[in-house]
Amino acid sequence: MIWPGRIAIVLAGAALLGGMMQTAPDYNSVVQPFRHHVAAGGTGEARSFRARFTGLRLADRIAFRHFSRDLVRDSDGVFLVAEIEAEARLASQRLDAVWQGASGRRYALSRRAEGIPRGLESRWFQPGLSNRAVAVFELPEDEVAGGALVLTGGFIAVFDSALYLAPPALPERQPIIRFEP
Amino acid sequence: MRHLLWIILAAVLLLANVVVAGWTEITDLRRAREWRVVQAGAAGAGLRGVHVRVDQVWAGTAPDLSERALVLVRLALRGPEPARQGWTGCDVSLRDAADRVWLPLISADSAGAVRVLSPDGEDNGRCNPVPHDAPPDGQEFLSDQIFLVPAELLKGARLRVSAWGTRPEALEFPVKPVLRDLH
Repeated sequence: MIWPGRIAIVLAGAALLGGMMQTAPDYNSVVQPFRHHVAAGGTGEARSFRARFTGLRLADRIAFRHFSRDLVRDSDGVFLVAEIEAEARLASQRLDAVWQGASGRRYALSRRAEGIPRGLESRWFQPGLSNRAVAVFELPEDEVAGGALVLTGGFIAVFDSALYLAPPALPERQPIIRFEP
Repeated sequence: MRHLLWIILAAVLLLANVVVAGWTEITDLRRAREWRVVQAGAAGAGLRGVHVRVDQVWAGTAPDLSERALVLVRLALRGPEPARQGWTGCDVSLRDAADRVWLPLISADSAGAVRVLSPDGEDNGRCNPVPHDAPPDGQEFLSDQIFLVPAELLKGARLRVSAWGTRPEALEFPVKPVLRDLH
């Protein structure tokens, strides 16, 4: 009569262990930055920076000058140009941006727009000084409405904050946006 | 009694595992943080065989952006070459009373800004303790780092200097920039 009791204990232990293994979050999700959702037009306060989503533009093509060459980029989707104003709170730092589309997919900054004037990838933000920057994404048009701009401090935001900034009202799509120096 | 021995042995092994696994992280953390800061004066101070002195600090503002200022810090280092090797990765930062940190500007334009702000029009490059054209041991050599800061920091700030081989020790200097009229 002792055996059924022992077997039950072992089975219960195995079930508990299996349940824990199935539900334990993986490393990446454990160290995700803390989310702060910010309504359209509002200023978000992250641990190390504050930022505001000041403008949104959509275009079929973008044009800019880089290394003395005039460049025009077109797309099968749409170029989303996000304008932000940000300030570091603790130390000089850079910011990284991702567009989280309506489907939940995340779009990184477009490398085809590298070198645009005031581009976010080349911008440093200083404590006590507000600075403007432009983030350009290339994505399918149906990912724009219902999406959000996700800003993180630096490129490794482990245990840091992430601002989820709701966009301002969606604008009309323009044929081309030119970035002037 | 035999069970107790096993439990003690397991605890010792667990502790040893934590120490061995954590040692690299603790060493990395010590190399990254400035926990022991030595206050230095205008004459400068020595740390790990290298003498550091703030040679000059200049600042400039633009009339249409009066809330921000450019600050140029010219540092003078001297010391024997083996000691200077330990200063590789020299980090310089400005701090205010609230311990906010400003790092030097690194961009294509920063060298030009240094030349505009320095009265001699020279750019000595960023802090590099082992330059290829280092003078003989015992002679000072200069470096320039430029910062973009709020104008209120011109009333007074602290300059902190440390390196990979000095941390967690660092030197700190009070700085009061000399305002230059750039118009």
